[in-house]
Amino acid sequence: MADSASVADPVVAGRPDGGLLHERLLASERLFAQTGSYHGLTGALELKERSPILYEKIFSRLRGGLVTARETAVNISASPIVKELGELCFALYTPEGDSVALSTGIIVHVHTMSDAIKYMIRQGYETNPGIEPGDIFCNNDAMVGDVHNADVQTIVPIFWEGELIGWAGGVTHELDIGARTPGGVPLGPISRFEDGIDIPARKIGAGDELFRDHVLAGMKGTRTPRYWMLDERTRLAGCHMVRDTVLRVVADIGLDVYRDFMREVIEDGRRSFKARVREMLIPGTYRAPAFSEFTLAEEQMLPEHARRDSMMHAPVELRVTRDATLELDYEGASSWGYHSANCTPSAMQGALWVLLTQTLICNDKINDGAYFGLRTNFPPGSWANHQNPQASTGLAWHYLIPSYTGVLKSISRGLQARGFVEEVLAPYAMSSNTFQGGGIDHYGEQSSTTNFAVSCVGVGARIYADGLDHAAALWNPQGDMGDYEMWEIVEPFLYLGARVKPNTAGAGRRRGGSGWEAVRYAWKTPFFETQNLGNGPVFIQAGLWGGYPGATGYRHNVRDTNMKELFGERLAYPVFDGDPESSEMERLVTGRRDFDQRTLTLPETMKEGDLYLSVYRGAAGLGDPLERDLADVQADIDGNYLLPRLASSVYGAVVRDGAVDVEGSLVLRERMRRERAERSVPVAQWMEAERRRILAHLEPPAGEEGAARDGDSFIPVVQHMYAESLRLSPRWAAFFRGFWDLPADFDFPVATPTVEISRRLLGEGLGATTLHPDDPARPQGIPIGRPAAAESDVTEEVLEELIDGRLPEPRVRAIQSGYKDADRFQKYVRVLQRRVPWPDRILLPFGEHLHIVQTGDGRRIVKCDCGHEFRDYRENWKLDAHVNVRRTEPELREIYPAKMHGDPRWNELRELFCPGCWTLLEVEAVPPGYPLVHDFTPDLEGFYEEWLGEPLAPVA
Amino acid sequence: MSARHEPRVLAIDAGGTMTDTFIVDRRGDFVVGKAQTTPSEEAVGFMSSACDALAYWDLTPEQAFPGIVAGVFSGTAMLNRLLERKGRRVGCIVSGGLEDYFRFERGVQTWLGMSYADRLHVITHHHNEPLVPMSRMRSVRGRIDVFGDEAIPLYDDEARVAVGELLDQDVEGIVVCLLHSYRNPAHEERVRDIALEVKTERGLNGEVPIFLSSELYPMRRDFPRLNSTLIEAYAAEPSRGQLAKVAGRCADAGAGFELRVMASHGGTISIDAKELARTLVSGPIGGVVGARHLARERGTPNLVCSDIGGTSFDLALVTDGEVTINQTPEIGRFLLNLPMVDIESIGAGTGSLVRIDPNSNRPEIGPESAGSRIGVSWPEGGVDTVTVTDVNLVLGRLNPSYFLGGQVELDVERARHEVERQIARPLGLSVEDAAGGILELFEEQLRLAALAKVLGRGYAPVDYALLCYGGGGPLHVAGYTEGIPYSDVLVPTWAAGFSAYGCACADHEYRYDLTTDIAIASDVAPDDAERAARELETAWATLRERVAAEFAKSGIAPGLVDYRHLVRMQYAGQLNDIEVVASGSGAKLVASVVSGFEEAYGKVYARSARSPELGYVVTSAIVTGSVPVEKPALPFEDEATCAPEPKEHRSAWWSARHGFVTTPVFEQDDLRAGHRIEGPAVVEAPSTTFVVPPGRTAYLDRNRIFHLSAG
Repeated sequence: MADSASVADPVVAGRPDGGLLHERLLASERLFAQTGSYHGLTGALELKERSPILYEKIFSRLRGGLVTARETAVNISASPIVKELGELCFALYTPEGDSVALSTGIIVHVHTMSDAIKYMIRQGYETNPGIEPGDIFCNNDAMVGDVHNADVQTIVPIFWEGELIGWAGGVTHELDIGARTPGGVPLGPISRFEDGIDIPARKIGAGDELFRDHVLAGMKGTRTPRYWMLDERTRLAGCHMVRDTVLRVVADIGLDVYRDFMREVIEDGRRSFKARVREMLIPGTYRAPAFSEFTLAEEQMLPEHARRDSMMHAPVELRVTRDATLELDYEGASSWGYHSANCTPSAMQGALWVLLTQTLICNDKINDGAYFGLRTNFPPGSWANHQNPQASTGLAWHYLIPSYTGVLKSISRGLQARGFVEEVLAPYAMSSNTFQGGGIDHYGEQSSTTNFAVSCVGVGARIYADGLDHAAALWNPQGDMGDYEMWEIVEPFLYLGARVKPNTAGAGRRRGGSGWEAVRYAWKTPFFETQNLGNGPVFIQAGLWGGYPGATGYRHNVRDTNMKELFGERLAYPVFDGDPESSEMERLVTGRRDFDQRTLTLPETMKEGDLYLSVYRGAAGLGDPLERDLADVQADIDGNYLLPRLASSVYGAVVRDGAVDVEGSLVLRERMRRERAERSVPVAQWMEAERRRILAHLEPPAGEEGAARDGDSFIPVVQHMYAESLRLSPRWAAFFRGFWDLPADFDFPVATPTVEISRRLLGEGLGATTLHPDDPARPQGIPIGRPAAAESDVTEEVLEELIDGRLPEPRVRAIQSGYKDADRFQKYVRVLQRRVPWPDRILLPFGEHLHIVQTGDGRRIVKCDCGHEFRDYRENWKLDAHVNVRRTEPELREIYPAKMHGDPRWNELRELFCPGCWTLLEVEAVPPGYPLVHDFTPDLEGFYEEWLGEPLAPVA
Repeated sequence: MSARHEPRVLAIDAGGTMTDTFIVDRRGDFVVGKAQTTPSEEAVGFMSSACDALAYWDLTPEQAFPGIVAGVFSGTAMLNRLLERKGRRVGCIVSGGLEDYFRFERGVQTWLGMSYADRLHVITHHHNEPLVPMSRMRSVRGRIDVFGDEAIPLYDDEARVAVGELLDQDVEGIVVCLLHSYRNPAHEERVRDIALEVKTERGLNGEVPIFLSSELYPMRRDFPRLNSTLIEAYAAEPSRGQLAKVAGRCADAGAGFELRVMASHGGTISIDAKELARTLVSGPIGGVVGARHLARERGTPNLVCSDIGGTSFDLALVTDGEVTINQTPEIGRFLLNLPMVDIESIGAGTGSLVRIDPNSNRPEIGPESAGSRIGVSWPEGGVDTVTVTDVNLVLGRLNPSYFLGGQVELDVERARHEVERQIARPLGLSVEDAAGGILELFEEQLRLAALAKVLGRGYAPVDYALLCYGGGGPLHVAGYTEGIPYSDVLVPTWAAGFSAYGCACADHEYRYDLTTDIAIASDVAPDDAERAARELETAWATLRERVAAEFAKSGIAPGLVDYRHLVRMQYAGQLNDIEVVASGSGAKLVASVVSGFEEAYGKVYARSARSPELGYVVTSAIVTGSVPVEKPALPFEDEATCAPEPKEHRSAWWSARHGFVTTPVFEQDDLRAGHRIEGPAVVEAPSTTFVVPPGRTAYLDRNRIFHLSAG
């Protein structure tokens, strides 16, 4: 093989591998570190180049075997989420544990199983307990390699004539995992010992048979033993089918060719991924911090140390380097906590996979090559890499989802700048409210459930259309709410109604995908514990370019109701809740009511006759709401997506008797623009005041934690969040203090006990950055050539129709599904250039209304359509904008109904306007005191000179 | 063909553009006629097509129709009405608070039927335009639970208001689908009674039909049940009128037979049948039904059915002479709950586009297709991307002057140039190696898909013969069966018309399914077995009555009907049920379904997955009732003694090893039973091309079916 002569390691040469797995793994890692290429394959991929057809045939056969294994095995499972919702996936790995190919299904786990295999190798499983033909291993431990315990993996080694040649892995998501509280995503655990069944990579069978003790122990450990057992059989049957496929392939092509193929196809995956990044994005730095909450302060049953609220800080920074490596950096993330939403790097990688496979790399050829084209930093001690053997991860998705909306948002900025407007998506909705619980069901049996209708929340707004309503989730693009009749088999709760929930979608020129709501009625159950699980006080992520975040939610449950009396007299009972300011459930039903924004609670008992409301969230919007087509506003009112009473304050639409008055609306919109000028202040002025507010925390009165001198201090949970980030990350601390010009030792006067624990556990490792933006030792990989020009009929005219939303959707979908045109950027810039009234040359599209231009006098600045000039593009244009901060209930209720917006003490909405035309250019949803977000710093020189191969006109 | 023909069987396949008519005579000879489809008046296209067919035998409909004993119709008009949203103005009444059914479409319908890449690619997902707008959705409070118990009484007044408001909007039909009505239809029936009262009050008796889901499709799963019931009202009812006109034209020509329609479960039903939506998809079913007929006639009980058209590769299994039924198929991005022959469709056909991914430089075939526009070799089609057909042309496997019998002249040079530019150069291969490689890759994908179909059901290829049909099947069958030990590979000389032939092979058959939840303990006690058997027999009796009632519409007495009793069963708690034929009564009946289930399950999912300790649930009771009808006899001719003569020779590519070889080309009509063609050889017919590679042999048997074998 090419270049192999220079590398002495026999592993590279593709000769009989032999040797201990551990040594082979280390050799493989060393080669990657040295060369930046998988397994040291730096030159031509010989098998692929020599026999492109054979290469493709092998891939087809392996992939076909994986898909067939999944399609067949899925029928063995009993669990509705596996069988009906496809929460099942199989993958094939190299002997060192890198994925070669994978089936359809939940692809979150392709990399988590890779971590589990590597863990077993590193821990010397080869000698003890031994890895033999016919062995079966199982893992569901997030520290080993998983998202949370509910994702259970079966891993089977594949041998050929006594040599281990690979691994087959399968994973299913369990409906219940025997955790402290019922369900598959339990929110009750505050430590890992409450996360349920725990199998940290153990041998669970030999001779192709499961050990009886393992099977029995598993069935004892969950509230749904039948599902556990059948899912175990599902995974095992699938792994064996995958193994059969591999053995057939090896018998056919020979071991040497198979080995070459495995290595090459992963390196090929790495190169394709980088080529894709280079084709679609712009090099530079993207930032989109995300937030979430975990509220346990009012849970009286918890021990005191856990009885507190926390705020998750995900300072998402995505960097695209000139060599087209994607770097994801969470430096500055807040600490892990005594709750169940902590994550491991494995979980973070898994979620990243899901996000990338539905945006940049949606095809069937993906494998761990993409992982090798990425670099990540999940800081030890943070929620994103807790490193604490005692921390719970049961509900990892509660933090993963919000944080990855930041990654999506960042990718979308790159896509827009590159001209791929058909691919731009504003952030998803939070996956909530999850109906989950356990107790005595309608058959009189003990049971537990997790309702996966939560896979149908709103998808973010698009440039050419509103977001997709109630249809998918960040963790599963193939959303399905299932049949009500099927859920009623499992759950002792009737569906009294399920319908679109108005104002869940974030507002914008294009609104986000809408959420919905379901009213459930406890039936034939003496008791069933149900939780509330969703975001309430915190907006997870604002939209793009003036789009607002999707609404948060509320809980509305009623116990000891008069429902049966209503039935008796045929009086109306609630089939929806509607506008929480004139709630149907409140209007029609009496009883003990929980009707507030405590959207995350431990399970509470319900019984026949009680009511439970699930509010499924909507997604973020895109663009200035005042630019929304009035016909779309009308359609939203007609379709129950928008409450008429909010149409004017959100969209500047005058509504009379349900009808939008176009003339009146135009006048109102003009007035609202003027009011923006009056309500907002220059950013510099706002920063001055904000800085004083932060500094006021410096000297609290003795003994009063978290209080500042004036009454304007941040609530303790916000101070804790900052303190954790400041203490975990010197880099982020320097950034924060630098932004606000604070003293070098500035800190918030609060204790951060979990940071102290991490300090003891990790010592020097605490705050160790695995990836630094200025890291010079970055492996370069092989140089990537320009992608071949794909033929395209996306002309500038077509592009214009696309931008304006005039292109018929089937045509848009054809463009989305096809190969990308190589000259898109140039076409898009020409289109934009024609649309602006000024002559300055556009260097880079920069969102809606903004552009990076080269001015006549040679400056490179950010400029608005209207002609207003912001500063040099390398600095944050927002510093020259005007800002209006919505930080009171009345201000927020101009945009959202009561109980459906963030708590202004936790976070505020910042509206940033162009001082030239008063267009809303960006919205930020961040805690008070958060530095202004510098969304995107493109590497203009790198893009032009290295990617486009064109000189960037010299600055005069 | 000459002499006196006495037509006995007539089968019509009305596609979107062309209507094919298939006529079989007493001896089993057949002709195929073609005419343009006339969507607004299907009877017109049908008669032109029938005249076209009969003209081969110098007959007119008036001469031929009186002697015909069986007439079967299949068509796509209903499906098109659905896809084009041109159905009736329907109103829906659903359970309280569920008016958003069609806007939600469960989420799943936003990505159903998409390619794998697009299923991941969330931005391509989209909602379907609802068949019923929000303004005609109404809900009524009241609830039945999963056990069939009334949890909340029906709010009669709301039903009355709902019906009134829908009638105010001049609806042409009202669909009622309430939760768990398959278990207890009382609320749906009450809504119907109220609707009848309101209609009477308004003088609308006999108008605005009411469709109850519990009456039409009493199967669990509310959304597919609602969809199926709605489609009945929306798209099927208008078809009834069209079909009546076709039947009328037949009668005018002196026909004495009852026109029947091909239904998705693989039998034919009367045009007066209550559930006409079952005929929504019938075209692709025909081929499988024809295969089942072949399987039974020839004593080859296990067949893999493979059909290659322009856009897809369709696969189905016939096992022990029976087809597999899917109870919740997806059709046109709708989830339905009507039983349908299980056909897997893969996006690989002769029109599949061949492209090189610009990022990975890896070849991709399909799933996008040029469809009927052939490829770059037919410039009039406007296709710029190389297709599988172009590749075949470059390799000399297709005759550019004999495509569709010479109706279309193909441009080989253009194909070669484009293959070179689009594929060979990026891959660094010669044109021949590139084209040959793509062909191998394409056939490899088909081979894997067909094999997976057999292995995925737990069977082995040696137990199956592979049957190939469709216009593109014979061209690739050698490739996609290469090296797989099927017991035989069958290629009927009428492969291109096999689907229409299959329609003529269908029995007159009704099938009814009813959701049941009959538990059978793992260690079944005799009392318990008796109870289960009683419950089952009750369900079957209900279904038998319905079958008998449908046959009565065709004047067929119950005594003539052949009933089969089946169940769908699963391990308690599992969600995947398997269809099992039942026999016996009482405890014996229960024992027979349990052992039938265990055997089938073990075969399909490996013995290790058996879970008898869980006990069993009979999820549905099924009755089929059929009446045998005359079917086309297989062609039969004496074996020839002479050797076949090729009509010409041309250079064709066979494999990387063989390269281009001077190959004899035979005209299919010149071949006689008993002829044995040694590969390499090409057999051409106007509608299809059959290739026999080196090392393979095709033997034409007395039924005019080729057997392709190794060596």
